Formats: sequence, structure tokens, C-alpha cells
Amino acid sequence: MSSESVKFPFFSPRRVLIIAGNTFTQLIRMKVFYFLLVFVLLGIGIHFLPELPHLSGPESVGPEELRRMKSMLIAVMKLFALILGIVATSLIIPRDVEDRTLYTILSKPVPRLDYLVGKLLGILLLIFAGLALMALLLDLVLHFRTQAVLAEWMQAADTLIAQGQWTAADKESARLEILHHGVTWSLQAAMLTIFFEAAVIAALALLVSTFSSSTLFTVVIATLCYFIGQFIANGRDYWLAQSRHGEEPALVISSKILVVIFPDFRPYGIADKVIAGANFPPDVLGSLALTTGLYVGIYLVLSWFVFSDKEI
Amino acid sequence: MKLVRNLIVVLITMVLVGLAKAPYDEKVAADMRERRLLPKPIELDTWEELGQTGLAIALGGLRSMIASMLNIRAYVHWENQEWYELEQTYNTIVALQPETRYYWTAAAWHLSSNAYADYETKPDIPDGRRRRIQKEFFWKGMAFLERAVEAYPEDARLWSELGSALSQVWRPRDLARAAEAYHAAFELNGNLQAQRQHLYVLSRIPGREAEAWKFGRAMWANPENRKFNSPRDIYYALQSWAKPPRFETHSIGDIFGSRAQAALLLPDYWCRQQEGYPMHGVREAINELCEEFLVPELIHPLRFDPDRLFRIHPVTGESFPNSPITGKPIERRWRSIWLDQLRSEYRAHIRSIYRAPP
Repeated sequence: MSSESVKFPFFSPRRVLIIAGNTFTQLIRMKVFYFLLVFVLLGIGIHFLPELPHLSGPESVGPEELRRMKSMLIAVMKLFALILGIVATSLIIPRDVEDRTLYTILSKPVPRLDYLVGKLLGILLLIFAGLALMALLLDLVLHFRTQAVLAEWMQAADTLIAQGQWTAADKESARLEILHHGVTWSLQAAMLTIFFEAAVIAALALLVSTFSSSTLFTVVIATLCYFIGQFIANGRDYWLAQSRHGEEPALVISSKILVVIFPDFRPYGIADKVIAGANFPPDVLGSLALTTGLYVGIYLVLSWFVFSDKEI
Repeated sequence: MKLVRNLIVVLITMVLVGLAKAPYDEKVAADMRERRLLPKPIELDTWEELGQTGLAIALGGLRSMIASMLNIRAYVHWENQEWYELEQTYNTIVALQPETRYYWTAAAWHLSSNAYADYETKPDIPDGRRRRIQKEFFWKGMAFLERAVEAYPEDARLWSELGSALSQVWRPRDLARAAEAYHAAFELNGNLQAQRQHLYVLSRIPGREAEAWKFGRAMWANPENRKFNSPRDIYYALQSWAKPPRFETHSIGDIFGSRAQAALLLPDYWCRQQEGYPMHGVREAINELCEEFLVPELIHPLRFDPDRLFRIHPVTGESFPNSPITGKPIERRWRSIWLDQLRSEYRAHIRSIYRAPP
């Protein structure tokens, strides 16, 4: 049998899934899910925060209590996703080099693209599983708190109706407002955007880690890119203002380059709006998914370009 | 060399892809901005107030959490009566989470009501300065609500909050603006309470009786509004002012349900003169009803002017006790004497005379 007859597919989903599964197990062994304990403790701790002052009855406070609960728990979810996205991705290649696992894998007929995709997929699976668990806990806690707030509120509404200050329509609109701050589809979509954001930053960290041999360097650069991505709004405004006022072309071009080189994290800020009570339109979720896919795709291709050329 | 080459290729690709993607990003951002789904960039003033750590967290997309934590800090400022710090904290909070109505209304309430009341009793402040600071905080509170309605003109409850805050009796007022605010709230959601509040405020503005009468008639057309006492009282007073043709005039019995009911309600309304409500025809009506229901002179609500001050109780002849705060003798107005002590006797008398038709 000649060597020419042995054909390896350019990209094998099966191989990718095996690598992803191994990465997932490897990360689980690093005990990252201890983070969930922080989440649970915070969920309990929120109940001990001071009661908010009443302005015109509990109807003004109920939604704020729920909003506060959501904002804190979602913040923890976001921290978990971002930290894991950056740190786990930065760690994964250097660790494989250190353990010599990388040599074992690449000495077999495993294309480097499969290796990179598998590694990233494993990390994303872990982030997704963690977020899903936290989302479940959040939904549970929020549901029970919403019911408690609603009961208290309906009692107050009945008193106001008896005093002639409210009508049944006011009570209904108040009930809907409270429920709007409870467990909703918009909230689930907001939690999904946290995953999208983490996917982008993880893919970016993967790209940086293909260049760098230092984990710390990768973590710092990826974190910086994340913060710069949040500044993009200001950068874009500056660029547009300069273009309008006909400022120096060199300045305009350099600001343009700076703005386009970093991922734009602005649209992912919609999670904050949802916490405040906005609805999450499905088309926006679709466009965010598309943008995320695009970023992850580009960073993966570039990572592959660098990694395929890398001497290991 | 290879590393530098790769780096250059990666950067160039990222720039090219970024440039190609920029119009799409802008389109998405513009669409989200239009639907108010995109957080505004954090302004420079807010950066300074947040400090390094807060800014980093806020920039990390955790604005709502920072706003919630700052709200708790504001709560502590409130407990310690640190009003300037409270104002600054709320400025930061609303910059981070402008879409949350609660933050705007809480800021306005703390400054215009709590800070205002706190300075009323703060010791060791000269009176002139006390009044100046009170006014300053009141208008700071109003500025929050004005900013809120400017940013969210479609929020009827914000307009109602503004109307309410500007029309309280015990604080500075701007009744014209309050009327505008209630009207905006009513136009937005058709809430009948906002409609009634608009009439209440409008009727208190001197010189705008004609407008109040026109609006009062529209309000009266909805039977739901006739269930409440204030709309009946105000409608009666405005009708007495407008003197419409006989066929358009409602009798006192029509407006209040019965003459006895009018006798029960109108004295309470008469005692609210200091709030600026129209009183056209009210004195005459009370006199007429008291005569009809044989009200004894001692408990007659019009026995004295409502604002007349007494050191000795006009009915029992006993002196009022000294104030526990100042140690000086207390003076009481006729309206408070009548409302606190004689009203129940008066109402019992009316009920004893009046027998509802079967």
C-alpha cells in the first residue's frame, strides 16, 4: 500500500469533538466550577442588603429590588465568562506544550486547525455549561423573589384601590411591570449575549496565544483588547466627528485603524438595558449571533494561519 | 522574522476585515441606538466620579451592577443626611443607568423632599441661609426630574412624578409646570388619576379659571371621575365661577349625590383654602346647607375664618398646651381645630338630620 492511498480529511468534526471533550475535562479538573459557590453565596447575600426607601408605595421599589438582584448575579456571570474565556484560552496552548500533550497530538494525523477549533470549542463548552447552570439558579431565585414582591405589591395595590387612589387598570399595569422584571425570554437572551461576548474574547485570546509564548502576556493583551473594545463608541464618535470637520487625514486614518482593529463590544451592552427592563428583540439577538460568528471565524482563521507556521 | 511577518499579515487582515465590517457595525449600532438598546458612552464627568476601579468595572459592561451598588451608597448618604454627596452619587447613577425610572425619582425625592425637610429642622443655621439651602435642594431635585422627562418624554409616570413634586403645598411650587406635566401624563396614557390631578393643579393657578373650567367639564364627562370628592368640590366651585346657562348647570345635589353629602364634603374643601383651590360659591353653599340642616353655631364650620389663630380653644375655653420643642404656647388655626375636634360632631349631626330617601 503506497502512502498516497492514506487520505486524511482536511477538517474532521469528530476529531474536533474529541479534542473539545478532552479540553472540557481538562478544565473541569482545574476546579473552575468552584466559582458557582461565589454565585450562590451572592444570591443569598443580596437578601441582606438594606431595604430601599419607599417613595410612592412599594410599586416604585419592587422592580428595583429585582433589578438589583439581576444586575449583581448577571455581573458575576459575566465575570465568570470573561475571566474563563481569557485565562483558560491563554493557558491552554502553553500548558499543552508544557505537558508535551501538544507533541503527542500533532505527531498524529491531526491538522492544526482541528486542534485549535477543538481547544476553543472545549473552552466555549465549559463557559456555556457554567453560564447555563448559573442561569438556571438565577431564574429560580428570581422567580421566587418576583412572586414575593408581587404578593406584597398586590396587597398594597388593593389598599390603594380601596382608598380610591388606584384603579384596577393601575393594578394590572403594576403587576405587568413587576413580572417584566422577573424571569423573561429577554433575560435569557441577555444571558446568551454574555456567552457571545465571552466567545469573542476567547477567540481573540487564542489568536494572541498563537503569537505569544507567555500566558501572562496573552492575558494582559486580551484584557486590554476587551476594555478598548468597550471604548470603541467614543473612538468611533471621534473618527466620525473628525471626518465631518475635515481634520488632518493622518489623524483620521490612524483613528480609523485603531477603531476597526479591535472588536466592537458595544452591542453586547444590551444585557444592561435588559436588566433595566428593556425587551430583547429576536432580530438583535440574530445580528449579535452573526457578529459573534464573524469575529470567532476571523480570529480562528488568523490563529490557524499563525499556528500552522509555528515551530513547536 | 517569521513572527513579525505573521503579525503584520494578521494586523492588515484585521484592519481590512474591520473596514469591510464597519458599515454593518454602524448600521447595527444605529438601529440599536434608535431602539434605545445601546448604552450611551460614559461621559468624562462620570469617569471622574467613578474612580479607577469603578470605571474599569463599568467599562467592563457591568454598569447596572455599579448603579445598584451606588444606589446602596446613596441610601447610606440619605441615612447620614449627606445631601451633597447623595446628589453627586445619583448624578453618577443616572449617567450609568438613565433608563431606570426609579433612580431619577429617588434622586428627586431625596433632594426635593428629604433634604428640604432636613434643613427645616437643622439647628444653628440662620433663617435666610436655611431657606436658601432648602430652595437649592428643592430645585436640584426638580432638575433630576426635568432631565428625566427630557430624556424619556414617553414615560407617563415620570411626568406624573414631576407634576406631583411641583405642586406640593409645603414646598416651593411651580403650578403652571406641574399642570403641563400632569397633562402630558394624561395625554400619554389616558390615566384618569393624571386627568384629575391636572384639574386639581390647574384650578389652583390664579387667572386660569376659564381653562380649568373647560378641562373640568371634560373630566366631569367621565362618570369614573365623579366617584372622588375633590373633583366634585372643584367642579362645583368652577361652575359657580363660570355661571353656565341654567340648562347646563348641575345642581348641588347632582354634583354631590345629595344635599346632605354636599353638607358633609364642602366644609372639608373649605378648609383647604391655603392650598389655593377655587372657593367660588362654597361659602354661600355651606351657609345655606347649614341652615337647612340646622347646624348649631358652636360646630358651624364658618363660625370663624379658617386661618384665624387661637391660643384658647374657642369651644371649650381651655388653653392649648405649650409646645414641647419651643416651650412657647401653641397657637392653632380654626381650620385645624374644626377638622380635628368638631368635624366628627358636625358630620354626626348632619347624618342625624338627614334621612336618605328609600
